[in-house]
Parts: sequence; structure tokens; C-alpha cells
Amino acid sequence: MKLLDRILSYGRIRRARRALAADPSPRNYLALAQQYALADRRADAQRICVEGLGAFPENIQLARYHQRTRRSEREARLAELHRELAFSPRAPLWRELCEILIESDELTRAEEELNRWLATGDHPEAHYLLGRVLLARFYADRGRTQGRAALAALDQAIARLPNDLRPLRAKLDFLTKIGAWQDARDCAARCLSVEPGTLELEGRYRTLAARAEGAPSIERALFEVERSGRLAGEEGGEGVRTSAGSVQALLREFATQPDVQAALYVRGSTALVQGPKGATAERTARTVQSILATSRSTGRRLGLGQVFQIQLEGSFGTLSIAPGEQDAGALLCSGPLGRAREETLLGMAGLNAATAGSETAVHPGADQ
Amino acid sequence: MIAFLESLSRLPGVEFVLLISHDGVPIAHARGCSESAYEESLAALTSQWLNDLRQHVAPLGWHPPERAFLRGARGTLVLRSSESACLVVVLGREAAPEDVRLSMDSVLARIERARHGRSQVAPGSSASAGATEPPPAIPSGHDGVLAEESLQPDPHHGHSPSN
Repeated sequence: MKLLDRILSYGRIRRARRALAADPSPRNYLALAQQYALADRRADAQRICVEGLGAFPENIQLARYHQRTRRSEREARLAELHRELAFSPRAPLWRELCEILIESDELTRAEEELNRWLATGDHPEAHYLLGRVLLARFYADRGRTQGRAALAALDQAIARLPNDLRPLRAKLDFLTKIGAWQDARDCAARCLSVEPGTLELEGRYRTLAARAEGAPSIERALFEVERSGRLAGEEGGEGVRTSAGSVQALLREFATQPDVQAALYVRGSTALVQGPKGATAERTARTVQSILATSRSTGRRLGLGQVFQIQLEGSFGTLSIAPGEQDAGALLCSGPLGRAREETLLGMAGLNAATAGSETAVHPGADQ
Repeated sequence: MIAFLESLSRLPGVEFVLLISHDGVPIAHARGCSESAYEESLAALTSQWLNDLRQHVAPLGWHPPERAFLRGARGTLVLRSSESACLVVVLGREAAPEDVRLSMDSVLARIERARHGRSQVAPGSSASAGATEPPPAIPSGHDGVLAEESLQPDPHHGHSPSN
């Protein structure tokens, strides 16, 4: 059966390659990558996705498929590691397994594996990796409890690896990110005692020493982070911006559909609105921003991690919001959202587009 | 009532099922694949979220949302609201809100039917039995199942629930 599949897939791959050569469109790239993936040739599928993304860097479907093929390759490696661990458990395998899980943001699975590893003995490396898992959870959720747990795990790792700079650096980054400058300064001093003369650490120490006076305690800093949802230094974080034009084109495309009542893109206190006009547009944008703020806070408190989608359904229709790190796309339609629109909306989040100076920009107020 | 929730909690990907009143009081819960017991905090946070949503959509002249979900990196919170209660389902990261849409609707409909059935059956039965004790304010799971099972759709179907 497997041989038959392989023979059949060979013909399909050949046809897909011909189609791609005749018309190198994202759809044909995707079709060929899918055929490779079906034939269990994940490396080839990834190569085609990378090539397609080189030609069409903004194609969401290709980017998603690339992610999925990478994930499938990762899962294959994880399965292999599990098999190896069952026969001959050893620290490098555990470490690789946990590092793959941490890098792929599979924090719960990583924590489970680390606990299994720790159950076999007191491994310092496992404590350090556990600290990384809890740290990643804190950076995603920004809750006080997660912050305390991460700090406790890092302290344990430092106690077991006193001459290793990795847990100390992780703690230094954590303290700097929450804005506990005084404790961060002490941690930088400890780092310097492990690796004296490092110019970068000396520079950090001086910067932190200048900020240390009147700095909040760790508990206070964690409280502030939980309240605002922002780490220290994130206020002015602008990042790379897409042009407003690409977002407006997407919004216009949404707005032409018959059951779409409003399409919005919000970033900070500014919103681009297609559909409603004037005060209604402003009220709609304000509502979306309020829902976004409330939902992000609820998601953090519930430990759901970064929020990808918020959807409300009722007699008004369906309001779907796709939040990114700093922005969000929203769509209000009278009927169901549908898979295609949902995917486009999710792709809109994270575009981080410039909204200022645009014709349809609505400024719902600085208080939002 | 717990039996209704348990059927929902057995679906793959469902971690926790909770029925709460509109003011955030947990009525009943059932655990799926989750091992943590956090019904009170979950009830408080979800009812707070739902109330916030109601307040935010009110300026647009919209009715409160009947269904809402919040999808995060580590799971999804799905809410389905009815006139008397709100059904909350926590899903794992591998499950999608659409996977439980029909099940949640049917469970909530059964809960509502049981509630209406009880409100219709209770006065008649107490009068015939001559019982002096009022019905309990918060129904137990056992009562809920009995009330649902004792429903007889045909005789009651045409009656108005307002007694």
C-alpha cells in the first residue's frame, strides 16, 4: 500500500511541478508543497514553502503551510526522542526534547517532560530549563503568580549552577523587563562576579545603577506588569510597520462583501474603519478597543496565554476580533464569519500598520 | 444538571465545563481532561468578562452577546448565555470553539427545558401532595436529572410558562 501511494504521489508531484513551472503563483507553490507533504517529503515541502515565500513574502497561506510543515517535522523529531528515551534515557536527549518544546512554545508539554526528568533525579540543567519554561509563561501571560514562580525556579537553578551564567542572565533579563532596577543591578553584579570584565555586563550594570534609586520592589514591579500588561520599555515599542495602504486594501475588500457591516483595524488609540461613518464608526471602534482591552486582561488572568481571537455572536450578528501584539483586525458581519474570512482576519493581526494620517482614521480618544 | 454537563465534558478537547448564574455564582461543574479545580475563580472571571462585554456593546444599541469565545495560545474559553444561566466551557489548545457549538447549544437547551419543566411541575405536584416545604433555592444535580427525566413534552408543550 505504501509503495502504491508512493507511485501515485510521484505522478501528482510531477503534475504539480509542471503547473508551478507554467504559472509560479502562490496557489501552485502551495499545491506542490502539499503534494510533497502528502508523500512524507517534509524537507522538500519546506523548501518549496521557503521558495514561495521568497517570491510572495506576504502570502498568509504559504506562511501558514510553512509553519505546519515545520511543526510536523518537529513532531517527528519529538517522537524519535521519546522512543530513544524509552530505551536509553540520558541528559542530552532530555535537554533536546525540552528545548524543542520550549522553542515551539509547547510550555505545558515541556513542563510535563521536565517534571518527568526531575523525577529521575536532581538535574541542575532540568531546573534551569524549568526556569525558562516558567519565564516564557510569564512573558506570555504577564501575571504576578507566573512571575513569582519563574523567579523561584531561576533562583533554584542559580543555587544548583552557581558558576553558570545562563540562569543568572535569564534572571537579569527578567528583572530588567519588569523594571525592578535595584534587584537587576544586584543581579548584574552577581553576573560580573561569575564573568568579571565583560564589557556588555559592565555597561548594563552602570545603566541599572543609574536607575536603581527609587526603583520598585520585585512584588510592586510584578503588580504593575500585571495591571498594565506591559513590560518595562514596551511603551514606545514601535517595531517594523507595514504601510497603511495594505491594511486599507484588506478592509475595503472586506467591506465590499454583502453581509459585512464594518471592517476595522485598530492600533493604540487609532482605528481605520470601513463601513460605518461618522459617530457610528467612532462608537464601533471604541467598542472594539474596549472589548480588546477587557479580553486581553481576562485571557491573562485565566492563563490562556496570548489571545488570538475574540468572537461575539448575538442578534447584532458576529463580531470577530483578531488581536496582534500591538494591533488588531475586527470584522462585524450579519451572518457567520466563515473560514476564509477568519483566516484573512487572523492574518491582519500583527501587520503593525501605520494608521496616522490616513483618510479613514478615527481617533476614538486617548483614554482608550 | 451535572449529568448534562458531564456529557459535554466527555467531548475530546474539553477541559472544564461550568454552569454559572449571570451574577457569577457557580451552579454546577464537570471536569473533562483538566485536573485542576478552579470553578470559583473561573466563574468570577467569566461573569466579569461577560458583564464587561455587555457594557461595551450597549452604546451601539446591541443586545448582550449570546455566545462569545476567547481563543488563546494555551486554550479557549467559550461562553453560551441563556436567559437564566451561562454555560462556560474551557477547551484545550487542540480544540476549536466550533467543535462544541452544537453540543453547548443542546446542553443549554436541555437545562432550560429542565428549568421550565420544574417551574411548571413544582406548583402542581406540591398542591396535589399537600407539601408545605418550598422548593430549594439552588437545585442539586440529582434534582435536575429527575426533573429533566420527568418531563412530559406533550401535555406541557402548549402551556405558557408563566403559569
